[in-house]
Amino acid sequence: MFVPEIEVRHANKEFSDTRGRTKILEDVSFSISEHEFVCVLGPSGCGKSTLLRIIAGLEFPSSGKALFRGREILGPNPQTSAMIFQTFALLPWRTVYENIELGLQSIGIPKGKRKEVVMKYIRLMDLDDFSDAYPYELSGGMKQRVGIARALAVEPCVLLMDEPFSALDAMTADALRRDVLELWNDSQTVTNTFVMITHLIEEAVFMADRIIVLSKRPGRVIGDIPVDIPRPRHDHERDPEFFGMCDMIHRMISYNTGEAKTEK
Amino acid sequence: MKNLKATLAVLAIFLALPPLAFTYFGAWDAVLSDPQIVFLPYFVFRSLMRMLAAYFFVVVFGLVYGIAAGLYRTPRLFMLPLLDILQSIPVLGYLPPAILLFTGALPGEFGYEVASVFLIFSGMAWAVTFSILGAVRAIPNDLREASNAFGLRGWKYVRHVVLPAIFPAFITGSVLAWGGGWYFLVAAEMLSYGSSVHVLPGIGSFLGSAVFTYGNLASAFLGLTVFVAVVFAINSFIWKPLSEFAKYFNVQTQISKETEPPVFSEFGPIRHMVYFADSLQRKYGDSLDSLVDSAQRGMGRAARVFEHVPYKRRHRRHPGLVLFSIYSMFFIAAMVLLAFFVASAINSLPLKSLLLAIDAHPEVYSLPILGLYSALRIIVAYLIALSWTLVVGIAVARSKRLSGLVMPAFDIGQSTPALALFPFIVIIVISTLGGGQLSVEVACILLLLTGTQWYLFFNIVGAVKSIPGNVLEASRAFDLRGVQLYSSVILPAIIPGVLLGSVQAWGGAWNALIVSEYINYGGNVYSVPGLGSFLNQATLSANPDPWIITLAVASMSCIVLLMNYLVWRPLFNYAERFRFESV
Repeated sequence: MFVPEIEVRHANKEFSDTRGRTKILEDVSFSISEHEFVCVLGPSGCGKSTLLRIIAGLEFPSSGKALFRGREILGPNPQTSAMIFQTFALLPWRTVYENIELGLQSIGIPKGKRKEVVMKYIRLMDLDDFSDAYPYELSGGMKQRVGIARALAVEPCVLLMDEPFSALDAMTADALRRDVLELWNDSQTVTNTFVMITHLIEEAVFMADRIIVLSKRPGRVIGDIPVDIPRPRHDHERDPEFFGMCDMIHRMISYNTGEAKTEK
Repeated sequence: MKNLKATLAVLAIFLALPPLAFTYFGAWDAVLSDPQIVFLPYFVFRSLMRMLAAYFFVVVFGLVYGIAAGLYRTPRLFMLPLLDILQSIPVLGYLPPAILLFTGALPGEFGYEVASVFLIFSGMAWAVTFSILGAVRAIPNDLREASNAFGLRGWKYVRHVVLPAIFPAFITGSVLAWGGGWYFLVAAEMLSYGSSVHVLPGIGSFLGSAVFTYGNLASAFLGLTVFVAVVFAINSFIWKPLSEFAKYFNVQTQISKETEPPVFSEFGPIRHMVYFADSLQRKYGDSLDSLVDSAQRGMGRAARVFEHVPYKRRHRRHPGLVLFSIYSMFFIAAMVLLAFFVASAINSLPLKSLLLAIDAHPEVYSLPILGLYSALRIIVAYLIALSWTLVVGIAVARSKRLSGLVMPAFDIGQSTPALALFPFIVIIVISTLGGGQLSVEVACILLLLTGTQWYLFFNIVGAVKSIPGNVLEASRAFDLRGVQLYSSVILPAIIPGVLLGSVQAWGGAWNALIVSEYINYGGNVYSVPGLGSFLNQATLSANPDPWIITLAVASMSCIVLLMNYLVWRPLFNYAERFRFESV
C-alpha cells in the first residue's frame, strides 16, 4: 500500500479568546509524497502558518489528523521534520557553529560525531568563514543559510519552511531560492521532501512540484495544482506558460471560486 | 582598560575626601576617638559576606520561582499575585517575624545573623524574580518554536534557551537587588524590635551607630565614604562588565544595518571568570545533559513535569474578579501569617487579640489619614524627582561628553544608601530652616528623593539611549528641532521607560518612607505624621503589639497594591502603543 510521507486528514483548527472562537482552518486534507516539493500558498491570515506548525508537531488540529508515514504526529520530532523560520530564530548567544549544533545536541549525538556533521553542513551552505561568528555579525541572507544548515544538520525526512525568504531583499532571496532547489536535488542530503509556505505566487510556481492553495480565513483547500513547468525553472521564468499559471492562481485566490476544479 | 583607570581615579579621589575634610575641619580627634575605627575592614568583610549569603538565596529563589512562574501558566495565576504582595510588604514588615522566628529557632548570635540575611534577602529578592519572570515570558515566539521544533524541551530547553535568554534581565535585576540590599543594610545590621537593638558587626551598623548612637559626625562621614566606595567598586568592577557581557545574549528583534558589536574588553578578572564558567559549560555541559536525561528516565512518570513543552498559547485575559479574589486571598493569608508569627512568639492568642489590640490602640483609626499624608509626601518627592531626572537624564543621554563627565557622579549618588545620608541632610536642613515641623517635612522629602530618583534617572537614560537610530534619523530628515523634537519624538519614545522607572520609584518610595518619616539622629527623634512613622513607633515601642504592626504593614501594602492595580497597570497597557515595533 502506498503511504504518503505527510498526510493531513480533515484538519480543523480553532482558537478561542475573549471575543469568542475564531476558525483558522476548515476541513483541510492533502497528502505529500516523498521527493515532492510542495508549496502552501494563500493570502495572509489564512492559517497556512498554523498548518505548517501542525505538520511540525508544534500545534495540534482541533479535529482531524496529521500523519507522518501513516503515524499520527504527536509532537515535534527533529528527525521527522525540521523547520526554517521567516525570522531565522537563531539563538543570539551561540555562534554559527553552535547554532547548527543545536538540533544534534537535542537528539543526543556525541560531541565527536556532532563536529563531523556540523562541518559537513557548514561546507554545504558555504559558511566556512563564519563558523565562529555570532548571528549579529551576519547579513540576513547569511542568517538564513545558518537556519537552513541547522535544519538540515539533524537530517530530517521533511524540511518545513515558513516564508523563508520574505525577510530578505529580492536579490538575496533569489539566490537562496536556487540554493534551496539545488539542495532538494542534491543526493548528498538525506532530506528530500520540502514543504514551503509562501504568499508569493511567482515564488510558488518557480519552486514547487505542487501548489496547495488556501482560501482566506478560515483556510480551506481551494486548489491542489501540479506545476509541470520543466526544471530548472529559471530557464522558463519568461515563458507564457509560467505567467499563465501565475494568473490562474491569482484569479483563483481573488475570486475564491470553483475555478480550480475546471482547470484541473 | 581606559575605563579601569577612570574608575580607579574616581575611587581614589573619592577616598581622599575624608582625610582632606578631617584636616580642614580639624576633626581628626573625633575620628580617632571612635574605638571601632580599626575594625572597619573587618566590618566591610562581614557586610559583604552577609550580602553574598542573601544574594545566593536570592539567585536560587529567583531562578526557581521566576522560571516556574514564567513557563507554566496555571501556577503563574497564583504565583504572580503572591509575588506582588510579597514585594509590597515593606522591609520593616519582615523585621519582627524574622527576628522572632530566627532568634527563637537558632542559638545565639547565629539566629540574629540569619535574621539579618533574611532581611537583606527580602530587600533583594523581588527585583530579581520579577526580572526573570518577565524575561522568561518575553522569549520571542520564534525562538521558542525553533527550539521546540528541534526537540529541546524540559531541562534542555531551560539550559540552552531559557537561561541564556534571561541572562541580561537577570543581571539588571541583580543590580537592582544589590542596590536594594545596600539600601537596607543599616536596618538589617541593627535589628531593633521593641526597646532592644541587636547590633551585628558590619559597615552598616558602624555607620548606623555613628549616626544614631554616638552622633559622631566625623566617623559617620568616614563610614559613609567607605560604604559608598565599596558599593561603587562592586558596581564598576562586577556589575558593569557583566551587563556589558550580557549584551551578547540580547535577543535581537530590531534588524538594523549598523549593529554595534557588544564590547567586553574591560576588567580582566571578571572576564576571565566568565570565560572560565563558559569553558566549564562547554566541557561538561553534555555530561550534565545526559545525567539529567538518565535521572529523568529513572524517575519515570514523576519526571513528566520536566517534559514541559512551552507551546504557543493565545493570550487569555483573566476576569478581574478572579484576579481580585486571588489577590485578596493571598493578602489576607500573608497578613495573618505575619501576625501569627509575631504573636505566637510573644505568647498571645492571635486572632482573638485583634479586637483587643484595636481597642487598646485607638490610633489605628488614623491609619487611612496617615496613609494619605504619606502618599502626598511621596507624590511631592516623585514630582520633584521626575522633573529633574527628565531634564538631566535626556541631556546626559544625548550628549556623550556630558555623560562621560557626570555619569561617575551619578553612579556614586546611586550607590549612596539613604540611611547614611540622614545626618547630613538633617544638619543642612535644620541649620537652614530651623528645627520646626516644616524643616522635618523638607528633610523627609529629601530623604524620599534619595530612594526614588535613581530609578527614574537610570531608566530615562536607558530609554533615551535605546531610541532606534532610524527614528532619530527620520526626525533629523524632517528637520525637527528643539521643543518639537522633544515633544513629538523623544518624550513619547521614552514613556515606557519613564513608567518602568516610576513603578520602581514608587515601590522604593514606600520602602524609603519608613526611614524617612522617622529620623533618629544622635538620640533626637524627628518625625512627621505618616504611615512610616506609625510603623516605626509601633515596632520600637516598649511593648510592641503584633496586630498593630500588622495593620500598619497591611495598610501600606494595600496602598502599594491598589496603586499598582489602578494606576500603573493601566498606564503600562496604554504605554504599549509607544513601544517601537520589533521587526
